[in-house]
Amino acid sequence: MSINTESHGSELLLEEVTKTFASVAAVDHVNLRVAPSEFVTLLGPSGSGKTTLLRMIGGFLSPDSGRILIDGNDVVDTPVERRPTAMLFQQLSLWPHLSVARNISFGLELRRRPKSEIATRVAELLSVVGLSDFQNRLPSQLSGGQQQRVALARALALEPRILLLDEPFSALDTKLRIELRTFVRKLQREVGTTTILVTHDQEEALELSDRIVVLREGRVVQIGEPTEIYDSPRTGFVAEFLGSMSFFSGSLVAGGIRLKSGDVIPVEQPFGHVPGTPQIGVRPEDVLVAADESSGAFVIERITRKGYFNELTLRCGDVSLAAYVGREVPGSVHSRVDVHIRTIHLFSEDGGTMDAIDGAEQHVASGADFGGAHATEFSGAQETRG
Amino acid sequence: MSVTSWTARSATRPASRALKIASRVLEAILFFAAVFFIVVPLVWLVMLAFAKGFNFPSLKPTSLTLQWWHTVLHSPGLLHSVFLSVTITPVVVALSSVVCLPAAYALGRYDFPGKRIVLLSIFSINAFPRISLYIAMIPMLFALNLMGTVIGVVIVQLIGTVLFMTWIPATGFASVPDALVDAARDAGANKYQVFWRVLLPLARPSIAVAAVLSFLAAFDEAQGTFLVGAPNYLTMPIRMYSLVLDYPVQFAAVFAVVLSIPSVALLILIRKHLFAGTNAAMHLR
Repeated sequence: MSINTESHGSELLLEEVTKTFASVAAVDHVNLRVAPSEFVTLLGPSGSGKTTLLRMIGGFLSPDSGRILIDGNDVVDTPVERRPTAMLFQQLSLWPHLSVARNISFGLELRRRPKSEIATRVAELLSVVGLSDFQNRLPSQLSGGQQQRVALARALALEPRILLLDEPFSALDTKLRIELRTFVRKLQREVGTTTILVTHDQEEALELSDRIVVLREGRVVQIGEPTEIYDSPRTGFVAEFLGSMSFFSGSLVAGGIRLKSGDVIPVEQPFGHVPGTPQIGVRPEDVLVAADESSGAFVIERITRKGYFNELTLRCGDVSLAAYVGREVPGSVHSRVDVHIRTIHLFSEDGGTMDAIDGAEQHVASGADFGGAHATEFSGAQETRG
Repeated sequence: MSVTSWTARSATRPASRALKIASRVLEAILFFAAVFFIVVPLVWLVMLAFAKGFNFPSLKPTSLTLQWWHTVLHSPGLLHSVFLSVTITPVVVALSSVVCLPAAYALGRYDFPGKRIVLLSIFSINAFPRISLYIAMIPMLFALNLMGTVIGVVIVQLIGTVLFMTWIPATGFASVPDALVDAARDAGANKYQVFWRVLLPLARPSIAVAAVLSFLAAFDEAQGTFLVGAPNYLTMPIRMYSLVLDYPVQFAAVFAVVLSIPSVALLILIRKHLFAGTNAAMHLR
């Protein structure tokens, strides 16, 4: 099945885009370049400005200042109906009074395309989304997943140069969600339409994106490829939003971390020396746990079954550490265990921003307590990690 | 199938059966109530229209006659009244929709200063006895030389339709989810195309309901029409009022049957729109 690939993706450029609602900056001086055919995810919690930003790209909102360029043309003054973008909405948004086919052909009819061309195109798109037998149904006769596939076909019918996905999978149940997003990713690769996805689902972001833009309170916190962001989160916020991370403070000594309690936890990856007591972040999968009833520094506080693995909550004094272990738990609740850490992430002491000092090639964001020199010094810990 | 799930299912079975029976019983009660309160009076009315005599304890007329029909259909001025009613009412409904639907659209889709006051003032038309409103209007109609004219009658009947024609379609327009409008604009529709292709079709059932209610309100309007239109423009309800006073009850029954023909015809005509629309509207959310 081939779909019209005349419309290759466009380049999208955001320059200092700002939008304020009731004196709160929803989107605060955002800069972003999305390459043609790239799949970029705007990731952030609610209130991070991701949807506002997407709606500005689509033309539903206009920025207070800044420029939005599609293939070099500023589209800020172009109304929604004339922008080369198409959006897939979070809510089911098919027109209930029109059949599936008419929903898809709506935009083509407005453009006064010849009837035969419309019919061919609709048939083609229906077969792409696997709903050829449903063309005369009303939306109310379809399941949620089918409706969202029709909405996708409707968006693609316009041959958009940029496809905007506004949490389109969130209304579906888990199995359908995974099915549809895999489908969307495959289709996007084939068609090559530049795509911007808004989501707060880290799994979705990691699975689909060429690059992820992490947003917080209207600002870009970090931009990078999924693995890059996961492995080298610039701030504690990013680390917790993509994957999970335990934080504690301690001093760095040769070969490990000395906790306030005096216990030293060995760390496998080498890291440099930082004076003082930085915030230390550890991913649960980087914690190795071994039963050691006699001299283990940590105690198992809680065991949470996650199916094919278990999550342990370990405690040593006021340090709480999450660890993923397989089905075999080394001990039970209250057992003492010995802990090794594969790799650590270091963040500045001030808990407010917790700017990372270990990002490899990223420069340290303003407000960091530690200089850039330290940042490069610590990058080694990340790069060698599998 | 495992034993546990089987026992769980068999345990719920009697409960759901009892529920089913209960809902059947309720359905039957509602059905008979509807028959008793809606159909019986109508049947009685129709019987009365053909009855020579009808004494209360008896459930059927003493004997049947077409005498009342003959008198009514040959009464002077009846044709004129029918003509007036079936021409003025559609004009009123059409004018009302031209005046009110744009307002309903604005009230349903936009926020503007004074919106609540507009809604309340429209509502207040129906909140007070209509006759006081008419009396207040009469000096104005005199001043404009509209007393005793068709235009005056149309204006007076229009007043009674305003509430229906604004409030009901306004909720119809308001209930269209924003995402449907956004999606239409995204697909390339300008504001007019959004209105004609998305908002209007989706608000259609509410407009149909408003049109039916407006039609009935205008068609049955007698007080104001009499005050403004008499003696030249005596519509069917006005004529019925005078007949009720001057003739035996059977006469009024005949008239009531005649008077309900246009409304029933309208309901039959429009029912497709009402139900087709309702289906779409119910699936909106």
